[in-house]
Amino acid sequence: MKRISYTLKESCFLICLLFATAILSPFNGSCQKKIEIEQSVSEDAVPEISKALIQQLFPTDKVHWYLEKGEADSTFEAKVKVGKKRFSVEFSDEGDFQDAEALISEKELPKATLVAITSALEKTFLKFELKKIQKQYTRKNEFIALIESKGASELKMSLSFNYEIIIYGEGISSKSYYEYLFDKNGLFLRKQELHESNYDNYFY
Amino acid sequence: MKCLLVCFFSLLSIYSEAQNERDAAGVSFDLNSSKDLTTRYSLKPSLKGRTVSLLTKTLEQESDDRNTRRLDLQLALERSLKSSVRLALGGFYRFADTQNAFRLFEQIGWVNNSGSKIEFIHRIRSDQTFRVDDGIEFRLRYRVGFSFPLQGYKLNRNEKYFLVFSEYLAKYQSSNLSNELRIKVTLGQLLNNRNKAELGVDFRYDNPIRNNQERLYLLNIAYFFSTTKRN
Repeated sequence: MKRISYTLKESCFLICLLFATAILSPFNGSCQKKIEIEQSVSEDAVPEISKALIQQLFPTDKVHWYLEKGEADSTFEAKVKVGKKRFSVEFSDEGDFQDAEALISEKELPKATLVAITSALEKTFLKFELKKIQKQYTRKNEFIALIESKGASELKMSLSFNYEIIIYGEGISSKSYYEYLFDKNGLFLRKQELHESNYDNYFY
Repeated sequence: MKCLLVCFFSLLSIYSEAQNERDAAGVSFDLNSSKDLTTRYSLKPSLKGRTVSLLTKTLEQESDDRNTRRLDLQLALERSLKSSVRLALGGFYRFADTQNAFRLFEQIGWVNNSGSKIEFIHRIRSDQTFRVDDGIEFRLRYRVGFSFPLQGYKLNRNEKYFLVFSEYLAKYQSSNLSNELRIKVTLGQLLNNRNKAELGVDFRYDNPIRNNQERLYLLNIAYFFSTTKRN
């Protein structure tokens, strides 16, 4: 059987590359900003009060339940796709409604709100992208009315909501993903740094 | 793991039905690293190796060695055009039993995620391979695939993910055109914020629409680590 044999030059090159790889090794700690571990759970693990509300709002739609464990507490989240609309409804671990979110596209943002949001982001980042935009409803009764009227109440009522936006932002020497919260007029409320996606294993 | 076993046995069944062609099987490993140079540019050194044994061979190949081994030392420079679009230039030197080679490649890769838990992956790569005794080999490749976490809506530390790739390669060397089809099914685990490990089954089908077909089955073990600051 043939064996791989290397010349001295090739061996040196190989050793240099291994050495460089070792230097690039990342085992030097990490920075943690928002810790939220989310895992799929069965409906049986969810409080009855939460299940009842979701059953009332989305009686015929398939619901996926998740448990989100944060640093201080854990919450249950129901994710539902109704037609082309995606909703997620968050409950406390005791089953109380916390908020609901509806995924929207950038085109669905009012122009004045979009201008206010992008102006705020331009002051923070050299370059940014709006990766995911969700309307966040914090009032349970308003959200129930919205779903039961199949969205019609949004036009009639003055609903209270915020925009939760995932942003990819680049500064001079840093880049990351952030979760921003703006009010319905585009006024900044808060931000949190998020886990950064890593696509290296897709491309190499 | 169930999916991997299904794929492995599916590939074995294909193999058992087509023993009259040239088939080979082996093990490959990838060690991939990433180092950010700036916010836009990063360096991607990799070490890739594999050992392959011929399972069947035709009369013309009687003199061939049944085993081949190779080791690739790869380096790529990547530029992110957007958060999910990456452009890269790179090359590797291959130490092989048969003939050493040098390859240059250029690629663009992008990921689509329309709010669902599934990410769709695309990669277009062209490469040029230089060997001392042969003409330059040109290849144009398109990879498409998808990935999703197995334990929730998004991938967290210590959670597994599933990854499937299909890749078509068109090859041109010394006035000869040929093609290749690759399918790879992988089970991965995000170990922490910077490290991933993968175990996969790689099926490569050379000249799928011609008579002189060659099939290669690889069990792949891969490790990815990054120095990029992640949360």
